[in-house]
Amino acid sequence: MDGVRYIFDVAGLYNGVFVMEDRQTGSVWTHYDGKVLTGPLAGTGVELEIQLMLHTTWEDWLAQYPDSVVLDWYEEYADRYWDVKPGTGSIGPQFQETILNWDDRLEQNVLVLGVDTGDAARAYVIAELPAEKSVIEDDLDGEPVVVFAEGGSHFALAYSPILDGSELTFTASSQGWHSDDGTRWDSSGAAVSGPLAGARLDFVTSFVTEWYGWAAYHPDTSIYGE
Amino acid sequence: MIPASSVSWLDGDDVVLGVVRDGEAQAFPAAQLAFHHVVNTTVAGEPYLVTY
Repeated sequence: MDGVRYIFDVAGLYNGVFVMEDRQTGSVWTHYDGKVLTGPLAGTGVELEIQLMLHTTWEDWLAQYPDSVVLDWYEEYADRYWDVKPGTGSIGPQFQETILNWDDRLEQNVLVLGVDTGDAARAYVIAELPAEKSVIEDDLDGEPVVVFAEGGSHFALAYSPILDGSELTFTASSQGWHSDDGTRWDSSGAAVSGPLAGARLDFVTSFVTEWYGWAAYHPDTSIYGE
Repeated sequence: MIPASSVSWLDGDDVVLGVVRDGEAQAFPAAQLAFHHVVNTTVAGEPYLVTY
């Protein structure tokens, strides 16, 4: 940011999720929305920009990105790695007591796609999505949003269906997501074949997360289908 | 980071988080992120902070 590369370490817990400290200024940031809580950078308006990140199964990832690279296995931490099953279990009381907005509309650890347009936030329950690839064409307070999903892989992300001023409509198949002009799109919003090949949908801030965190940071969130 | 083809410790239904940018793709297994929480990395020349 502004020519400075900040390096982050874990620093503690705030509002149900961990916070980080940057090594350059010692400011404390939330990892959930990339904002500064305290320290020299507080109030400066500096914040991290949330980027597209796929949340999926290893099987699905390998099929899409066989030539990718993977985080090293650090043997010295092997006994601290654990078999994470996102969307199951519950958070401990020491986590829960830090949460500023506890929301009982869903079970605390239900896996959701959280979408934030800047003006409105909505949660889509992953377990309610079809197991195969699917599309949700939605509207968040007047802003059109398209969700690409594959419930069986715990994958979902949101994009803008508007490209060069016109609004695309979508369907899904086992091969990917398709706009009605015949273009096929991949899970990262890139057009891989058809008339719009090479184009990219605008990412709408979204990520797969557990409900308690989404609700804590987005108290006004709606829930899709309710 | 190691090539995906060399990874032996993941099962098909294990969850990973993946970053994709300009033809580069990096995966971060949830089992490891749940311990490390933050990874300072670089993808396609851009600084990235992966958090979980």
